[in-house]
Amino acid sequence: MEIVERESVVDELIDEIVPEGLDWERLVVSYPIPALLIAAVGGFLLGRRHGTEILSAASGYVAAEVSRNVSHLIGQDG
Amino acid sequence: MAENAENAENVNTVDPENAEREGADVGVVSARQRFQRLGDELQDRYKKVSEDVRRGAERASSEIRRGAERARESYGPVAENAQRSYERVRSEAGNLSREVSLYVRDNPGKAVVIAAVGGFLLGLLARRRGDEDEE
Repeated sequence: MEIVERESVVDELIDEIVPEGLDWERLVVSYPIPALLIAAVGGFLLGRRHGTEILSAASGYVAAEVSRNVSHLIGQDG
Repeated sequence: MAENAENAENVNTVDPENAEREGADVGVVSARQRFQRLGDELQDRYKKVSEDVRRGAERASSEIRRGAERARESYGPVAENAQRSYERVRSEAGNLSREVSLYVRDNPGKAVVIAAVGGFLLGLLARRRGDEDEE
């Protein structure tokens, strides 16, 4: 089974999250359905325990980025 | 003349023991006949009851047989449909599983993230619903 090498933002993100040395891509390709189930269950537990905190952190990050970009644009215009 | 007088005397003096025995014999015979009649009646009734029971059992058995045949006739197509639906669903599930596997093999990272985000949203919903139930 040949894995097509392709580095996307998502792949980089997952590479950062999972421990180094774990070939998650090969595991997911070898066992697709169990991998999806594990990801879904992990997401479910995370959302159930720390869902609101993660959401507020993400929305704060997005708001900060937007305001930073907007002020950058305004600064450029001025 | 003298003989006649003796006979009349004999008739008048009947032995009481003999009379008693004869009376008892008559009673015994009558009781025996009554018992015999009772026994015959009982036997007749038993025969009638057993005949009725046998007829009832035969009728019930034939009704059950007829009901089973009717059920087989009416549920046969239903069972066949259920079997066909099961086969179709199984085949569709197999196709879906194959397609999902192919997609995951082509885009492993994206598939994992989609599954995790879906689970995250479900968990969020479940938590909100739990909080509402507690309130």
